[in-house]
Amino acid sequence: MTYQGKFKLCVVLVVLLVVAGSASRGRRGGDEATGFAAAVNLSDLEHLAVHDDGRLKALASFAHQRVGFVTGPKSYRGQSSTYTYLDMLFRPEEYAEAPVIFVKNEPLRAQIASALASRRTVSPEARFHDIARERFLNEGRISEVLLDEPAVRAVLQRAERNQLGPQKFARAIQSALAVKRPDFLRRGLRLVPPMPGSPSDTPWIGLGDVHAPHDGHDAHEVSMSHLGAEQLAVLEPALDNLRVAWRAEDRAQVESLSAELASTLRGLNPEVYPTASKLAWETTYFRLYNLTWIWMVYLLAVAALLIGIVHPWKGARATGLSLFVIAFLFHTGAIGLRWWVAGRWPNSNMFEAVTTAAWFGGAAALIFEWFGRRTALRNVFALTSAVASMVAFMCAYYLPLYLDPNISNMMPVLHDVWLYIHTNVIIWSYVLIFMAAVSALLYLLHRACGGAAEFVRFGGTESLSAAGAGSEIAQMSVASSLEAAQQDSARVNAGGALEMTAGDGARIARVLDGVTMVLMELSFVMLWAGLVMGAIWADHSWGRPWGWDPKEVFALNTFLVFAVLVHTRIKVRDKGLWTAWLALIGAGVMLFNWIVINFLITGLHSYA
Amino acid sequence: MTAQQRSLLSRVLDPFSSITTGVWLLGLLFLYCSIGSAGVLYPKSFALFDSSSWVHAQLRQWRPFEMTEFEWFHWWPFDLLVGLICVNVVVATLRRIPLNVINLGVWLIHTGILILCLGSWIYFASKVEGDVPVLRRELAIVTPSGQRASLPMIPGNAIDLGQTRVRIWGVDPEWHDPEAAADAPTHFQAQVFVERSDGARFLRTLVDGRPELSADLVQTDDPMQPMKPALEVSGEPLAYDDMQLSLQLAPSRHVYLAHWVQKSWALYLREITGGVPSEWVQRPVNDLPLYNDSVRSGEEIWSAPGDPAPVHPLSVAVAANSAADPLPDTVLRITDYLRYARMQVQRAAGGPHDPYVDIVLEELAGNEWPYTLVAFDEDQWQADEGFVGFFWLQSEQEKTAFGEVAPPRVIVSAPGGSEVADHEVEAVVLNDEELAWNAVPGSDVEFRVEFIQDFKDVEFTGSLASVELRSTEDDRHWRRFVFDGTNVERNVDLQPSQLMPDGRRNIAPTPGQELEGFEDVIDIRYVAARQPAPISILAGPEPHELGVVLNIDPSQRGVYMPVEVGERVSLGAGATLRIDGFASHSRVEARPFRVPIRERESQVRHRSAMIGLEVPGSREGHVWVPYHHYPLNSQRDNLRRFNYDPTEISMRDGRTYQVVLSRQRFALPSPVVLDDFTLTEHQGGYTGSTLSIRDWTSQVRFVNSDGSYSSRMPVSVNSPAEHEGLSYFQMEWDPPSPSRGQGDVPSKGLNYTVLGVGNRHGVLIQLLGCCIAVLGMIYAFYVKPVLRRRLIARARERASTSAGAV
Repeated sequence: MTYQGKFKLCVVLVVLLVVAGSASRGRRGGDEATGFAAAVNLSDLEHLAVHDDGRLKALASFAHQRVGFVTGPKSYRGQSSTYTYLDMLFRPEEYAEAPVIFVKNEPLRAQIASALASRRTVSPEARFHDIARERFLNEGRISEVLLDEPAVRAVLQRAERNQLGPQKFARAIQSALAVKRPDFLRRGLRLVPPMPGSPSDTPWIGLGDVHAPHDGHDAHEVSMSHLGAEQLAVLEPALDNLRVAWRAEDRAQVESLSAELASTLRGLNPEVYPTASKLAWETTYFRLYNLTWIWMVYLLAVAALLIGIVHPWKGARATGLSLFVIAFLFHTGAIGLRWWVAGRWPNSNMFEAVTTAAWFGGAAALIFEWFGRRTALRNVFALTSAVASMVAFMCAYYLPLYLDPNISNMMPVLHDVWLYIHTNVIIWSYVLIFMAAVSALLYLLHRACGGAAEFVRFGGTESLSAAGAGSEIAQMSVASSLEAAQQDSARVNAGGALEMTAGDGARIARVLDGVTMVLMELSFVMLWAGLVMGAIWADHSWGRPWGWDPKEVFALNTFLVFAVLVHTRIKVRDKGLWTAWLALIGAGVMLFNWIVINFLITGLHSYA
Repeated sequence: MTAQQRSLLSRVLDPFSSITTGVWLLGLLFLYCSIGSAGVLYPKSFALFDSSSWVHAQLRQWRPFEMTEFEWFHWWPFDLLVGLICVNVVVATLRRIPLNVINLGVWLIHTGILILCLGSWIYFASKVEGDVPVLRRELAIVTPSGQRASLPMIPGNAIDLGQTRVRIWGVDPEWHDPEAAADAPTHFQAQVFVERSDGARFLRTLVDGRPELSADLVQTDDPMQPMKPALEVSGEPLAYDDMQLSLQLAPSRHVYLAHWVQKSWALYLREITGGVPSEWVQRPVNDLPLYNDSVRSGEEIWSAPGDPAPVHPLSVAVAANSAADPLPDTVLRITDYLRYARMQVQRAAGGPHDPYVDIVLEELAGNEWPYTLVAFDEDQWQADEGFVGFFWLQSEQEKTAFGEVAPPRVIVSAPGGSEVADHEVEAVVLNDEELAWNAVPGSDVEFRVEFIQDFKDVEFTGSLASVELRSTEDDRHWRRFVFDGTNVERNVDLQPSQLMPDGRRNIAPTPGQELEGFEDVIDIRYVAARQPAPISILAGPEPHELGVVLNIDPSQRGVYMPVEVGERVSLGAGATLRIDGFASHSRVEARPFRVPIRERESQVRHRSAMIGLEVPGSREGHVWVPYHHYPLNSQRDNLRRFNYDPTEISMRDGRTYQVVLSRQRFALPSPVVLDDFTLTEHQGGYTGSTLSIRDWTSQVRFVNSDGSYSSRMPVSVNSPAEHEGLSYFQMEWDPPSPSRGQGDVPSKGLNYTVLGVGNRHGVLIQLLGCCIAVLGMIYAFYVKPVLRRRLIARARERASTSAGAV
């Protein structure tokens, strides 16, 4: 088989593998809610504002966070989080023996399962069938009754003592049990805004704390004392009425009570109450899985662009580019919506950092596409960005445990103009590094299929400028001693850098090497500038520009790899191959910094 | 001659003009940084695909290195590497890159990097960083007798001044004057409770900056209003104006060096004269490890089972380095270091005849229940609610006799009566009217045992027998509860009518209802049934002998099995009994317990460290000294948060000293005071989570040399203040905290701040270098191509015109 055939085949295989792989993961959730859970319309309740740690959230997103704490990231029985939250509150007995408590750590799951299997006496409610066991090992959810078994308690106690490993997982189980308790759920519902005119730090109070004032009133009652009789008549019995209707599964009653509650709460202090549209959008944003499914659109773009680049078929390129633009528009919408809902630029936790970085990649790709629209490099930028965004959203979609989509306030130290500049520049450089690694990987694939050892001769940005560069100009323009080696190779192919006179294989090699270089050069500058900005920020926030924190050191390490790349490229003959490998190593170090250092080696940068 | 020299120098420099050398040096730097920061991963076995055989370790923390991140990155190999890179950059640039328009970018980058290295060299060589806690206010006290004192304004703090006790009852850091406008600034307000030996007690309210608002609440006889404003009682706001109390600023004078930058251990020493301590004097400690434990022998610490004692030689001499040192000629010597330990009282072999055994009950599920049992100790001879007991055997015969069941008995006698009715209680049936009566010898009284009940609760653990008594002569008819247990000492007679079915509520007769019973006539003792514990551990009669008798299965009587320390005895159902330690002669000893690594809280770091210190000339000889985050003057200075537990040393000459292990400190150029501290919250106020906080602001002032204060400087997160070459950063705050126990009061927080303090020499040079490098990169990647394109175009033009000319 010829080189071209092999390369195309490989690319097609990669496309197929990615498509098949993602399809096999299937939808998440799986269960469908039935009965009352499916029938009742909770939108009035979902759009209530809840005060939680200095933020006002829609009840739907608040419940998503709290219930996620108990049941893990997947929906419980296909129910909405709001439903599960209220159901645990109103019908706690339904959740005692049901598998609702999420155990994150798989070894701990196995230990619990084997402890349950080794029991000698088993009460009827604490039986643990094989099916339940399999489900537990796969999904990680177990009932409170089983967790209370002495054998399991012993496992958890042992885990709790072990600081080095499972302690945090055992503690997470304890907090899940605490969060699930009805009184905790009730206290969490801080739905009642302070009265108009009170200072901004006046706490919101829980629905269960509203009482009509009487003699010997306490502070809360005093603050409620100027509630109108009409408002009190709704608020004071609200929880009890709702509970009664809920337990009777009286849909109509639940819905009318909710509507009444919603309008009364908003009427208490319309000034501090978030607008209805914001609460509705926030609810929608969470219901749509935080738009993490955008990866599927990016996947289609990747497939079409790959085909278009390896095969001279214009339709594929056009399709791919349009799909990419559509996905990017969705992506922009997701970022913008989150920005608006959170009230701040989304870059303060892992979820936000990853998706925002990917968006920056898309923006950079579009800019490069514009500048390079007449060069052979066109569409490859879109491809690399599509891959980066696809991977980012797949991580967010499949690993919500690690990329928590919930919105919270930023740590106080992060409120700084340099935070915006530093972190955004850094994550922008990271996504460029990732994109460079994508083109580098394709280059290596091309070489592995026997492709020509071609490269661009004047680095990336110059290849973007459409004018070709003749060999004689290379001699006069650059200090000859430094680029002596380059001259040799320049003689091999004296044609224009990207004037497609050479064979198709050489063209692809030069295109991929050129893209890698364009991306690498920009990421090199941005990473360095980002590091400097981080130092400026750290200097006035922590009192030192540089503290040898692991995250700092590995950002420096990433830069060192690229410094090696720049200098190696001057020296070696097979510039394309060395560049590709070093770009891959650089991306590896960058990912190590982002993943391993973040999750395993904690340091000062543990905010994101 | 000169030419030769030049050529020698240039030959030495030749390797440095190579790019390859540079690439290698950069690669080495990469490796060095990675190892120092992320550590190393190595397999401990050949099962390379098993993740459990891989070990992650921080190489720089290993015993030969013992380096913090900062120290690792300032070790000579690092300096050498960076130095070589600089030489390489200089030589290669000068020799091989002609300075022209095209190469300007490279020149700028290289120059920038060199300037950055220079700035960093200045910065790191002079780096000082530490922290200083600053209290918001202290209470200045002048007693009627003229005695002066000050007390840190922290809720719960108290001080005794002769006959007067002054206690800080409560602090409201954000008190709002109810008569002021709603948006008026808040004040620091405090309530101080004063108790005098003459019985006077009053509560004084003090408002910072508003002395006219000071007022007393005085005690009254009115039970409805026990405390009343003095204004209402006497017409004056202050009832006790001879007691002067006022709020004043509390200057902090020292910065304590951050430990993670560089190890900065120090000992602090002071003399106690007549119970009054002098000032702490610092002795810096060099070469004390931070990460790795060393002890002289395993005998001087407690370790968890299976955790070997880290026996390594350590000898760090700590000599006086200040003229004020109270022991100028005594060189202290640190012989032990434990990074994470706490003092613990345990039993050890040796000493008087006092048998003890350390056991662990293990369940199948892996649960472990460790116990120390002491045979002669009333509270420690049994454990697990009598499931396991430990006994000392006097003779060989007891081994076989042990474990016999003794039924419950009631021993009844008339006073002075030589005869005693020793009644063995059989199974009794409640309310059995047919139950036979037994005579009490030497009296006209008869008795019968109605029931027996065992209790296991907080109030009472033991057994109770209800004995019914009646006189054969008159109509008197009583019930008496007789106890055999640990917590109840006296018997209680009850009228039959008072008896409750559960026999518990009415144990104590209500006052006025104490009826004359048989107390003076009849003496009853109750000895509950003695059943051998399910697990009995028997020591003796020989000092080394140890055995176990199991009576877990009631149908089988256990037999004596000899056991040894370290042995496991199966208890059935997968449970085992493990004997961890035993001695017939033992004593109780306090030693540091080395917390096993897996049980260490990671954020504690070195804050639970402890050293063993040899003090020549002292009675103790060797003492354990725990780490203190700050060398506090007294418990009152601990800010409700830091430990205060100085180690006392008595010298043979009778003088007493105290010593603590802490961090090195240096005096601030001018003391700092905290004028105000504010918390900025997000909507809805502080919820207990940091996420509800927007910012903290410390308003600080500096004390000038003439005693006046500088103007206010705000220090908040991301916004430091600069004063006399040092920067002050907002580092920690004082969150609200609940009451710490009985007699304490809760704190609303905001009573102090902790400021980070550091210098930043060379930062501007570093910044300059970085900016030049950034400019160079932009030039090299984005300006140079444009210039080059123009050059090419011009060259082509020239070529075509010259061709045209031809």
